Amino acid sequence: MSTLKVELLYERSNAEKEGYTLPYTEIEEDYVMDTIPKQWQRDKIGLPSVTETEVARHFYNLALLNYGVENGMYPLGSCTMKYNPKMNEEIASLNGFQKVHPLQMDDTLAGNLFLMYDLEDMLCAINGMDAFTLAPAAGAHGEYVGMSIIRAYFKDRGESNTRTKILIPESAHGTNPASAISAGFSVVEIKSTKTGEVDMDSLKANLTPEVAGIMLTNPNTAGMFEKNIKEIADLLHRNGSLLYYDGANLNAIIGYARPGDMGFDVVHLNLHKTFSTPHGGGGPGSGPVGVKERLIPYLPNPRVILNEVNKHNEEVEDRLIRKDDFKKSIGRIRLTDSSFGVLVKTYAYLLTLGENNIKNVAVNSVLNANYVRVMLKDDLKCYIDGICMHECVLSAKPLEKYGITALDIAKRLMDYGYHPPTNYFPLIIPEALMIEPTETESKEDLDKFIETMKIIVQEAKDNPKLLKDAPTKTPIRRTNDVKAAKDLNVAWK
Amino acid sequence: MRFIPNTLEDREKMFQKIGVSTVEELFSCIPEEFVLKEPPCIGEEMPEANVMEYLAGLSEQNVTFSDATSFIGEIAWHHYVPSIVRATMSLPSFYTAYTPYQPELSQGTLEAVYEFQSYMASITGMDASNASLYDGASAAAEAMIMLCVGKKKLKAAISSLLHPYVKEVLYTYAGPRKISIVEIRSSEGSLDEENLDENLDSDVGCVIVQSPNAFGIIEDMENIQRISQEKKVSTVAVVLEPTSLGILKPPGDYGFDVVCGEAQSFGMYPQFGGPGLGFICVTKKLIRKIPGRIVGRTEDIDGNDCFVMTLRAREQDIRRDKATSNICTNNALCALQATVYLSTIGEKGLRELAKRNINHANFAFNELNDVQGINIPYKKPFFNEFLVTFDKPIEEIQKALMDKNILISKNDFGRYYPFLKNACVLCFTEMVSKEDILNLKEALKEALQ
Amino acid sequence: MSDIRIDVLYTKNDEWVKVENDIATIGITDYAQSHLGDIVFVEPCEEGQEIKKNDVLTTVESVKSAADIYSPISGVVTEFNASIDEEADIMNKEPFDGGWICKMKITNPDDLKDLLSPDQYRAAKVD
Repeated sequence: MSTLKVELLYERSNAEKEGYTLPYTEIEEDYVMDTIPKQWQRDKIGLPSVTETEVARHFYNLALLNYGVENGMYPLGSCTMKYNPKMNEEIASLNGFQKVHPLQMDDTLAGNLFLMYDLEDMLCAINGMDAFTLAPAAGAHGEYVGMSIIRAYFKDRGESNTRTKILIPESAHGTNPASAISAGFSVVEIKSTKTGEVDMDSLKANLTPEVAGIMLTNPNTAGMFEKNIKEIADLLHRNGSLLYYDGANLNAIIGYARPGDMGFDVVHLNLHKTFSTPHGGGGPGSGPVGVKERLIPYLPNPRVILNEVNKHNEEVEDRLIRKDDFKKSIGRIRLTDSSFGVLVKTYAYLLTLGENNIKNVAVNSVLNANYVRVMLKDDLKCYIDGICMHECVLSAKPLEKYGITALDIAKRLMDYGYHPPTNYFPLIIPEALMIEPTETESKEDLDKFIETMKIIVQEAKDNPKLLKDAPTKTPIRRTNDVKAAKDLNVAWK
Repeated sequence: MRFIPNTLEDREKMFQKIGVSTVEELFSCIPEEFVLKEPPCIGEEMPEANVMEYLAGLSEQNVTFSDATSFIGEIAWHHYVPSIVRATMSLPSFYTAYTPYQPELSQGTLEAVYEFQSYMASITGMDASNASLYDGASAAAEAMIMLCVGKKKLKAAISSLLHPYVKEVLYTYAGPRKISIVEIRSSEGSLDEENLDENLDSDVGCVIVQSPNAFGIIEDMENIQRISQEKKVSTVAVVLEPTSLGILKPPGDYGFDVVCGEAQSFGMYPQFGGPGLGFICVTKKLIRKIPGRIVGRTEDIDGNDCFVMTLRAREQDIRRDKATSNICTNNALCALQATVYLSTIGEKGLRELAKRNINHANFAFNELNDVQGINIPYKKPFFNEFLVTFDKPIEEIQKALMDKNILISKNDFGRYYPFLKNACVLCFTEMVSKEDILNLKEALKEALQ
Repeated sequence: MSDIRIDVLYTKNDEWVKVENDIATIGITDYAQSHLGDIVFVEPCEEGQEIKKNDVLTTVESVKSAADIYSPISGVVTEFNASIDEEADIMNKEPFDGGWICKMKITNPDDLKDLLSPDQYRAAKVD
């Protein structure tokens, strides 16, 4: 990685420079002065003026300051930073997918509608659900949609005033409570056991008639499978409540078991985690939501469906339409139908994987996490005994006596060329380092990572300053976050 | 399997270390009854070459802008995207990276986002922008929640000339938050200022107006801001076609509190609508209320200039159920595209582009204005699109134009506005030529005979 | 051990209240500021604003967290501390002095009965 010298394009701007020329036109009349009132026009926009060469160089050099999946292992727990197949990017950039407008007539979009229809089918098969909406733009958007569907369901049953609470384990991701609130519920936090599982006593104590549902991540945020899931599902269903599955950790069980079979009524997926689409430095993601049959009427508008009117037409492609007036629907949740580009990549990934390989994703992600766990459990502390799923949580607690924290280990890993694991999450484990290698790492690379971790633990004991000062080999060192928040500078002036 | 490197031999060695001997043992925590007996039915694996061929075939079943001329705008715009945009977003360390939680390893993303924020703040005339939101409609919803829930004024006054989809999304989001929505009438194709004045009181958390509006008409932002300010109501401007701000005075200059919307126009093809690029810009006094991520400039411990995500304490992972927004992943890569695009076309480029759009649309306006059977109901300043109504059922027109390889919107605005019938918004960017417009005119003449 | 002043009253939520005639000055304790870490922002309260006991009075933001401050009493805000608007970290440096949050006209003097004495607060912190 190169070192940073901050230069913004603004700083090399010169009004005479240009990076773009407008296409030809034969319309030479100038209507601006005659049609737009002068007082409605602006003088200056405030953009830099630079050449294409300078733009290319600027962003290329910025890219060198970034760490991506191809730089090396990216074991960020709960984020599933697997390899993003190159083919997916090329396919999504095809003219036929890029240069189509969402408001074209349905019969000019046969390819896209078929892709969505078929992908919905695949996601149903993988998750054991009856229908999916592909509209949500990210995981949290999916959570909001899923919660809204639950709300609409109870409203339709005349229970909207009585079903007001959502149960959420204290170990859950922060988006869960925030999403439940966005959808108009209040949140009841239930206790977690030491392994992050639902505390059954706390669950039972809080399972009142007001409970609309529970939001669960399974495996949970500590990487452990919720052993009591059947009992939880039965308890909730008997109470007339619904089960929501946060798909953040689906990678652990994909192809091996299905949330739909475990009793979940609503699931959201993160295509940018489990289904290999890139994270893009913070999006775009995609968060499809799957539901069981009784919840289908509440899915957001529009949906791609087979037009029953045109039965004589044999090809499925020619019978697909977008229907946007389902009466019980929660309504429209975004400007357009979906983050289609992300769907194309997911579809390409699933076609490549095929039904016979899909289980290997789960198997190898669990295998890799457990391998890292057993190889490092004596160097760091493992609060949770036994086999984990696709991620393992280690604790830097034993290094406390040397003044070393999880953050120090994370920062030192950077000096060795690794992206650190998630730290300080889950909150229930002190000094947590949450490692999710994913199935796309090899044993050779895991061995190197493990060796590096062992070296760092030794350094912590022999020369803790090395960790305290880390990182030193990155473009910048630890940052002054207080200054950032106090002397806010969020735009160049 | 191409993406899974462990060999069977590796697996055996790892099993030994873990202390298990079979896959079933590794997964013994999953109750037997849930273990799939058959793989999920998604078809056999396909080699890359075949996936490529199959999907290329599927994409060719669409009618694209290469097969036909599109005059569709409303929610997505066809502008030219310079090659440097795709080349840059394809740099792996940009597109494969996670959200920049570790600033030491993500100065590239962080600096690009800071530039994005700077550009968007300038373009909209505001003090600050966030790092992006999902899209234009959810951005408007976030603005509404920020102002109404934040100030406990649970009434939003929205222009009836927001694009119908934006309106639908606002209704979806307003319900659970107990926000009641009042629609402000339109008058002659723009917001009815008297009706606005009548509907504003101290319970109203914000006024939401779109400009150019759903009919393509530029609203009188000065008057709207003045009326709202007199009633001390916060103002939100929704901009779905920000290319217009290459020439139009930005809402920030009139004193709007929030400018939000869709920036797909900046460096993305419509790609069937997504991913797009939501944005939200605010005045200084609202910075700490802004939903989503925001990047700030600071120093590292050696005193080097650098960037970090800041104001993190407002976000869902820390505030949990007290967070005002649940947004987490946003559309960072799309923001990068916009940043590269805006850097490339620059100050002059965006201005010229805006003018070009106005010129093309006005040329079309004059050409279509005297065609028998076409009515242009409102003759007010517009940017690159305007509303037309036809004397024949719109389905017939759509079909007749398609036969001539011309695409117009599937949306009949008569469905959304009872005072319209067979109405449609036509859009003219720099991507349609004089010939294309004349062809449209001929095709319409023929269809309307 | 954090500082506990003897001339003010406390709440369980680590706020302090200093009463002078019918005006109460409100702030957060030394214990609270040390737990929050570097305070970067305090949401200004509006003067003239009527606040009920246990309503959110303001939100105090540090780099790593944001805490709602619930009003220990009912009253009308008469003054917001302008210096914390400029330099929020004064709440870290002088939680009981320069770092006060706001002054309120007390509307229900009975509320004061529910507050903790310095000794009670100290005992509560030891628990």
